[in-house]
Amino acid sequence: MVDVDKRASVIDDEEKRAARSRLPPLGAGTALAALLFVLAVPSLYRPTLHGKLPFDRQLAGEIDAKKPDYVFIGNSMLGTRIDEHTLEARLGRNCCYILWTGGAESAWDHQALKNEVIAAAHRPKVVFIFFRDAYLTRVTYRANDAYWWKIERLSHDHEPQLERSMRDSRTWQEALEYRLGLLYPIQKRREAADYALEWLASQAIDPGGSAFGTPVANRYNELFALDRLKNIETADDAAAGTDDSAIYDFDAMLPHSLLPSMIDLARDAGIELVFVRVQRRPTLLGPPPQSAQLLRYVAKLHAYLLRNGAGFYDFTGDPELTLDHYLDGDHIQAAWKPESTELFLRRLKMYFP
Amino acid sequence: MIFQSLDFLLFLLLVFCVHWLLPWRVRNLFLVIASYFFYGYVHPWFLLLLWFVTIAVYLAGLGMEALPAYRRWFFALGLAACLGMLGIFKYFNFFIDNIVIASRAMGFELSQPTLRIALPVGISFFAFQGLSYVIDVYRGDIRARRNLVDVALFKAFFPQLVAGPIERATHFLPQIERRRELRPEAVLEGVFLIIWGFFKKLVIADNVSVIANKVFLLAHPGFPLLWAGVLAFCVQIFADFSGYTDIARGAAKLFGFDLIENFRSPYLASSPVDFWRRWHISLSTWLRDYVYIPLGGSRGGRLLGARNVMITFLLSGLWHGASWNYVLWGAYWGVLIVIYNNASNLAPEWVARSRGLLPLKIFLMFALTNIGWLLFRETDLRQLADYLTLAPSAASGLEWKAGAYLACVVLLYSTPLIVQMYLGRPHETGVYSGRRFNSLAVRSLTAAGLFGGILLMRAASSADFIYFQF
Repeated sequence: MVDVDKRASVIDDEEKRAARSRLPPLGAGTALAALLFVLAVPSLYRPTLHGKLPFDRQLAGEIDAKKPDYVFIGNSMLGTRIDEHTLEARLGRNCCYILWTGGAESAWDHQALKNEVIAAAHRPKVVFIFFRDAYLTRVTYRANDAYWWKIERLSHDHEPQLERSMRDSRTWQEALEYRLGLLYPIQKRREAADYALEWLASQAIDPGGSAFGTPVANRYNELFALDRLKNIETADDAAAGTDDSAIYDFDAMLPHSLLPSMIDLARDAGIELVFVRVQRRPTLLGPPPQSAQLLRYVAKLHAYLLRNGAGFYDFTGDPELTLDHYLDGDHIQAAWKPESTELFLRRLKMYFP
Repeated sequence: MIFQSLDFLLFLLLVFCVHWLLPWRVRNLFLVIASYFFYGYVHPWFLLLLWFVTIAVYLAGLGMEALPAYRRWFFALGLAACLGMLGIFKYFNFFIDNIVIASRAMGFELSQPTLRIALPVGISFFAFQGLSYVIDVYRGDIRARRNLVDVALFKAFFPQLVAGPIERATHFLPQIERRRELRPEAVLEGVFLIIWGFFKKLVIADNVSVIANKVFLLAHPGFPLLWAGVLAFCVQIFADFSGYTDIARGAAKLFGFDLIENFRSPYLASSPVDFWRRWHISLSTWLRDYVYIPLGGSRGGRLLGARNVMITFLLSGLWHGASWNYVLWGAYWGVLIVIYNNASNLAPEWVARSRGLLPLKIFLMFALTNIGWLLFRETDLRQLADYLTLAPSAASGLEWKAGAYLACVVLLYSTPLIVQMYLGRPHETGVYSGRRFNSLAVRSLTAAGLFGGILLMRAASSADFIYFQF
C-alpha cells in the first residue's frame, strides 16, 4: 500500500526468500527420524528432585495453636467476602480460622478439610466451605496446570480418594493431557522456570535483592490491589459461566466428585459442615441470571446436602448484595468486606449461638 | 476449533493422514469438508455465512465471464455479498450504538435495540479473500473457476481461515489446482514452523499477556507501569499473530501448500512506510492493491496522495474492529505516513543513506509503534486520554521499580523473538541464508529445544489469538 504504484508482487519476493531457506530434499526415513528426535529429546529430561511438592503441615499446626470454633475454606470468593477482624470482633478472638487460596476449587477444598482441619488435634464446631454454582462437583476444574501445586502442598504422597476422583472425572482431552504429562515430566519444573525468569529480571533491577525462589512479583502486589482496578465485569473471566451443560447434571457429576468424601470426613470427625453458595456478579436490574439447568442443579445439590446432614446456604438473590458492592467479576469490593461479613453473620446466625 | 488445543492437534494429524491416503482427485474435496468441520466445530451456524459468501463469489465470477454485458452487475453482486456480510455482522452493532449516542447528544432519546449480532470468527479475513477473488476476475487478472470445490477450498482452507494470511486467488488457486506431492522435507518444515508458532503463542504471547492484562486492568497506572504494559502488549500482539501465521503456514505445508509470509521483523522497521512493508503484509498489500492504487495512489500530487493514504489507513483501522480506538489507530498511522512521506522529501540525502543513524531510526520507530499499540489496546477513549497525559514525574519510586521489573520480564520472554528477528533477515544480514542454519541437525535441535520450552514455560492459561476477533 505504501510502496506507491509499484505492484511488484510480495508473493514473488516471498517465494525467493522461501527457496533460500528451504531444506534440501529428504527421504521419508530421514524426515521421520528427525521428527522422532524432536519429540524424544524433551522427554529425556526427568527431574531428579522429588516429583511432588512437600506436604505443608503448617496450616494444621496453626489450627492447633489457634483452636478456632469456626473454620472457613474457599478461594477468593471467601477471601474477598469474609473479614477476619470483623469476625473476631463479633465472635471473640481466636474463634475463627480462614483458610483460602487464590484460584483452586473443590479438590483443594477437599484436601484442606481432610489433611489440615480434620488432621489437626483440635476439632472446630463448624466448617464453612464457600463455592460458586456447580464448582463443588467439578473435581478437575482448577486442579491442573497453575493450580495443581496448591493441591500438592495439601496432599500426602498417596491420596487414593483424590486420585480416583480425578481419574474418573477427566474428559478424554484431560486424560490425554495427563498422559502427556507423564511422558514429559519436564513440565513439573514449570514453576522453577517461572522463578528463574522472575529472579533474572529482579537481578537487573536490584542485584542481590532477592533470593532465588522467592516470588518477586509479590513485592509489587499493592500496586495491583483489587481496589486499584477498573470496575469491569469481565475481569474474572476464567471463572465465568460455561457453556458445558454436562457440568450441571448433578446426578452424573456427584459420584466422581469429592463432595461425598467431604461429608463423610466431617461426619466421622464430628464437625458440622456448611456449604455456602456465593452470589455471582449481579446485573444492574438484580440478581445474576441463572439457567434452568443451573437452578435444577442447585435444587438437587441442596436436597442432597440436607439428606446427608450437611448445611447449605445460598446467597444468590440476596437483596443486600447489589452490583455496587462488587469489584471485578464475582469479587466483592475490599471496602465492603466488613459489611459482607456482617451480612454473612446475620444470614447464618443459626450457626453462631 | 482453536489451534492451541489437543482437539486441533488430533484433527490435524487425522486430516494429514487421510488426505495423503486419498486419491489426489478427491483431496481438495476432503480438505473442504475438513475445513468446514474445523470452522463449525463450536458454532455450526457460522458455516451458513461461509457457504453464502462462497456461493456468491463463485456465481459472481462465473456470471462476469459468461455474460460480459452484465459484468458490472455480477461484480456488484460479489462485492455486495462480501461487504454486506461484513456490514451486518461486524459493523451493525457499532453503527446502531453510535446512532443512539448521537441522537442522545442531540436531545432525542432512542432506546438501545435488544438485538445484538454475534461476530463470526475470522469474518474480516474470509470477506477480504472473497473480495480479492471477485476483483481479480473483474479485472481479468484471473479466470473465473468453474470448479466449485476449488473456490470453496480457496475460501475455507482451515489453516488460514480465521486469521489469515489473506491469500490472493492468483497465488493460492494454482496451488489448489495442481497435483500436490507428499514431500518429506516440506512436512518437516511444516512441523518446525508449527512448533515455532506454538512456542511464540504459548510461551511468549501468553506469558507477557499476563503483564499487559494486569496493567490495563488498572484504573490509574503510573507512567512506568503503563509503558511496561504497552511494551508487553507490543510483544504479545507480534508473538500472538505471527505465531498464528507460523502455525497456519506450517499446517499448510503439511498438505503441500505455501501460504504467503505475513511478517518480516516488523520491530526492526526504520520508518512508518518500512513498518507496513513488514507488518501484516497480506493485509497491507491487499489494501495497497485494492484500495490505495485504485484511488490514484500518489499520482495526483501530495494532497491527493495524502488523502489516499488517510482513506486507506482509516479503512485498515476499521477492518480491525468496529470501535473508535481502531479508527484512531488507523488515523494515527495514516498521519505518520503522510508526515514521513513529506519529511523524507525534505531531508538531506545523507540522512536517508546513513547506516550509523539506523539504530536511532529503529528505536524511534519502535517508540512510535508502541504509541500506536496503546491506541489499539485501550478501547475506552476517556481512559486513553488519561493514559496519554500521564506524567513521568508523578510516578512513585515503587511504580518505577515495578515498571522496570515488568519490562525486564517482557524482554527476557522476548529473547527468542529478538534472536529470530536478527537471523530472519537473510536479505539484510546474510546470516540465515548460510547452510549451517539450514541444516537438518541444527533445525531439529532448535525444534526440540523449542518443544521442551513449550512444555517447561508455557503460560498457565492460553487466551484466544488476538486476531480471531477481527
